[in-house]
Amino acid sequence: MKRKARGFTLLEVIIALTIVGIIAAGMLPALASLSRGSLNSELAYATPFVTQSALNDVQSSNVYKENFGLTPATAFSSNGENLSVKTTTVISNAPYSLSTIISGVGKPTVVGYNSSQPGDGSGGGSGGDNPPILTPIYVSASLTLLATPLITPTVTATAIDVQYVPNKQNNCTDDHGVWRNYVLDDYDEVADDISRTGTLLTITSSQDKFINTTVVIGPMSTPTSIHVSYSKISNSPSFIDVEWYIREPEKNLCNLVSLSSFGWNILRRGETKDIKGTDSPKNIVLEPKTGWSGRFKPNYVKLVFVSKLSSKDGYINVTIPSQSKTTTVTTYDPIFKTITASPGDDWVGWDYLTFTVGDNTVVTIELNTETSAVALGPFEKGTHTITLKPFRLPKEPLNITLLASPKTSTLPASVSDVDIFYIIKVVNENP
Amino acid sequence: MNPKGLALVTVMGFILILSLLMVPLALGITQFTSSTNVVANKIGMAEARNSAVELVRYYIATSTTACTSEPISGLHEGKLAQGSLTPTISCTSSIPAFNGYAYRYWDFYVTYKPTNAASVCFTGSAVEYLPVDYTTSTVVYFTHVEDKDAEDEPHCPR
Repeated sequence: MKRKARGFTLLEVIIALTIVGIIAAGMLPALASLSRGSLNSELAYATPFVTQSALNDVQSSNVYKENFGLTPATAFSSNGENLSVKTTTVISNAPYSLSTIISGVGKPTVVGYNSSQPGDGSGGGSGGDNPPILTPIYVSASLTLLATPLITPTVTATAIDVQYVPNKQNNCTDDHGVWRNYVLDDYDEVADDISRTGTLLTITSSQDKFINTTVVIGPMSTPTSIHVSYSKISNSPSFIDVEWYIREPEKNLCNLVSLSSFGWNILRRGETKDIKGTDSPKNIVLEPKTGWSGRFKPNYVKLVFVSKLSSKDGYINVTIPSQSKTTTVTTYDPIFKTITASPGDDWVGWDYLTFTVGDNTVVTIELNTETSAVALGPFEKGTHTITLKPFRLPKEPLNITLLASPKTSTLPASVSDVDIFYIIKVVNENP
Repeated sequence: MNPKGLALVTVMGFILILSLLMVPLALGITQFTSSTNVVANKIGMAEARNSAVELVRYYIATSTTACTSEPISGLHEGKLAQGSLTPTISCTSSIPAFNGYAYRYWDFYVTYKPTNAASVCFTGSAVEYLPVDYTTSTVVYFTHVEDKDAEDEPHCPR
């Protein structure tokens, strides 16, 4: 049998909808809870962003503040110098704190940089009561380390002896070993003061034969007497003939002591002294009386003795001016001095060093601390300024060693007016 | 089939469908909450990185130690709300000048220890620009900063 189709009655539908409505009403609290959870999630998500915006003074929407009470609070803490910590806290269902560190030094100058930029901390933006970061004032101070000139010490050299060099020691090949020649050899060429202590030259007799002896003295510039003594000369005629020659400075000893007078200017010709024999020594003084001129100094003088002694055992002693000059040569040795500069509590950094270098002076400087060393120089005459900042010397006692050396050893060297400048920091004076 | 039973099944099915529709919404909210922590950590690390740069800038600009390539450790930590920063800097080379500007080159390592996450090492290089007088301040330029795992970088302070 075919069943007749039929739908729901109105009553059935109403009952079903009522049941569905009742069940749906039971879900409403759950939906409300879900909505609150969604809002809390939204606020928790937004809180870090709000905090970061406030921390960096970035102007953001006030929606969260006005509608949900997300109000940032900012606080500063500082180490008292150029470092501060800025902390922003936002209270919400998920409180969030965020900090950033701000350095007051070392920042580059940026075009468009202003006080409200993050990191400036000078109160811009919404920070409200942000305390300003105090910028310290750097002031230069100086310390005089050496006011009195440091002068190189004087060293008086001992006199350089002038030596008589027997010709045979000159290794001259053309003297044949017979010429008893003496050369006053002054290596310093300033032998002006020749005393008369005497160097004895003995000319022994060759009995009635001529004896030629050459004595070269030099360099010398003052009239010098040659003492001649003789003894045991027979009554036969005996004589000494002396010729004086003078010559410009000559260092070739062999040229000087040869008998040849070539190249020499005769100063006094043939001063003949007749001598007679006696057992007791008698003296003859040969003095260069004429022609001695200062324009020749320092010069060499050659005395040529031509003598003839009659006795076999006679002799002639010629006393040559001996014993050299007493020239005093003053020299100056390099000198160094170490000066210590100690940084004070307010010291920030060494700034620069100034000093004055005198004439004839070369100065080198070493800067030493416990952990660093710097060598500077050389510096010559003038006032010098050395900037110390690039060396970044640490806050330790600074030893400054000055080494002053004379360019010419016979003149003094000096360095003076050594001043060091350093930077001190005046804190909290320019808020 | 009993018509009343059919109606009941229909209503139950309708409720089931509604319930299933609520699941992704609930899951979405849960996931949203957990991602909030990630965002907070990321923001905290971003500010920590900025702070590390500033901290290093401060220590370089105020350094009075000679450039010896030896790491300068023992510097004061930077205390942040989101963690702490432990810096180490080392001057790798310097260009001194008598009359002009001088430069020093620095490497730095800053360990960031967040309160609720693993440590991160911020490392990089900086150039310090040293004017010869004090009328102009020392300026520190950072050439690069990168994040590394603090455990993988031996130079990072522990």
